[in-house]
Amino acid sequence: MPLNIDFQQILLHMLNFVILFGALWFLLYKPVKKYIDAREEEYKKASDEAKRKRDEADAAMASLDEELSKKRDAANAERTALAHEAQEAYNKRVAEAEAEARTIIEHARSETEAIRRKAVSDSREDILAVTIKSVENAAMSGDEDVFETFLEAVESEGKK
Amino acid sequence: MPKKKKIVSAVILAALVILLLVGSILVPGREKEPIKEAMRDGVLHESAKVAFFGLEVNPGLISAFTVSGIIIVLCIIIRIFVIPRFTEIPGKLQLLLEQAVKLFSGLASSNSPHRNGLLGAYIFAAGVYIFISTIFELLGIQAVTVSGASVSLPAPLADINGAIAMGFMSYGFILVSGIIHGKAHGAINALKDFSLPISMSFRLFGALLSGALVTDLVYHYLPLSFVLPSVVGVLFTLLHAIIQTYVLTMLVSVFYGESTERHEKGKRSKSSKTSGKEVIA
Repeated sequence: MPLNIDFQQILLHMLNFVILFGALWFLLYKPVKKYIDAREEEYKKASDEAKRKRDEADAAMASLDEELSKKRDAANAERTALAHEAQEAYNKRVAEAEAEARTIIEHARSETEAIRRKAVSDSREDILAVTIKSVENAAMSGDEDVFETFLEAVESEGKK
Repeated sequence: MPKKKKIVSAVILAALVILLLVGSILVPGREKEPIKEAMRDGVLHESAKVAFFGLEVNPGLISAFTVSGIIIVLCIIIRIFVIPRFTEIPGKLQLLLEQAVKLFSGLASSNSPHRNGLLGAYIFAAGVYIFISTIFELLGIQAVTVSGASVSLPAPLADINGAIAMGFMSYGFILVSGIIHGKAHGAINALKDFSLPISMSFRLFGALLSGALVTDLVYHYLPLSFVLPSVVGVLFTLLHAIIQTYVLTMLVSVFYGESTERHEKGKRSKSSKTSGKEVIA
């Protein structure tokens, strides 16, 4: 054959390679590939599990956020209501206090007036009594300084 | 060591080197075969035959069996002692093995997305075989020819029979897979590229032979046989090993992908076809 081509040797080369292919496939390629695939599968599982847990955590977080938001809204509404209520109570209390104060002032004013009136009345009576007494004394003693005595008596009564 | 003694030693060594160099150039050697004959023998291996179980075969076949034997023994050792001790955090050897397997399985899955289990194993075996058998020639293991002369075992694929075997077997693998997976369409796809086995065989043979011939030429002339062969031989061999491994495995996976692709009615995948042509180019 040209170029020293020999079919027998070609077949022997093929036989050699087929044996080598089988050996490499079963002894090296397959076990190493199996190991790599198993490891990839394991990592994929771990990754999927981590993703699932992250999704769950995200969902729980979202739920908690929603709940928190609702509670915050409720608290805000309650606070507003309480503030409004407190304001009303305050206003009511202030109004009551003002009314009470007005009553007390009115009462004090009327008492003061009564006392004043009584004092005036008492003073009049005293003045009248002193006057009468002085006049009596003057009439009894016949003294010229009766008026001066009267005035002194009035003055002393006034000081009392 | 004293300085004087060092100088004397260096001078003696240099004198010895010069003396041997001059002597080897001046003293006439054995009658060398002419370069033409050496090249012809390098290509055809007509004269240097080696006995193999009663047959007279090319040294390339001995290389092929030797390489396969070495690889299989290594595989057995790795299977028994290394693979069962694989760990979550890989060591250097585990990383090397995993990377090699992932390289070829990735090449297979990227070129043939539908069916690639066997393809990955095939191109892994072909890649390992081509790479190691090409580097094997660097070892310079000697064999005795039937005429009693010594011959350095070449790369198995530098023997045309080895290259033809590899090319035709790869084509046969593609054709059979095409028939099994792609039915008539796959078979037609594979058959229309009937020149593929010849092109693959001669590409392998030519590439490896050219390297061997260049190295032979360098070795043939005494003035070129200092320092240069170590650079030329090793670099050329390593480059051949890497390039030919890549080319053959890529070709096989691309054509395999084409012949086993799922044929959809009214649609023809042009991308894989283009990639096949591109690879050939």
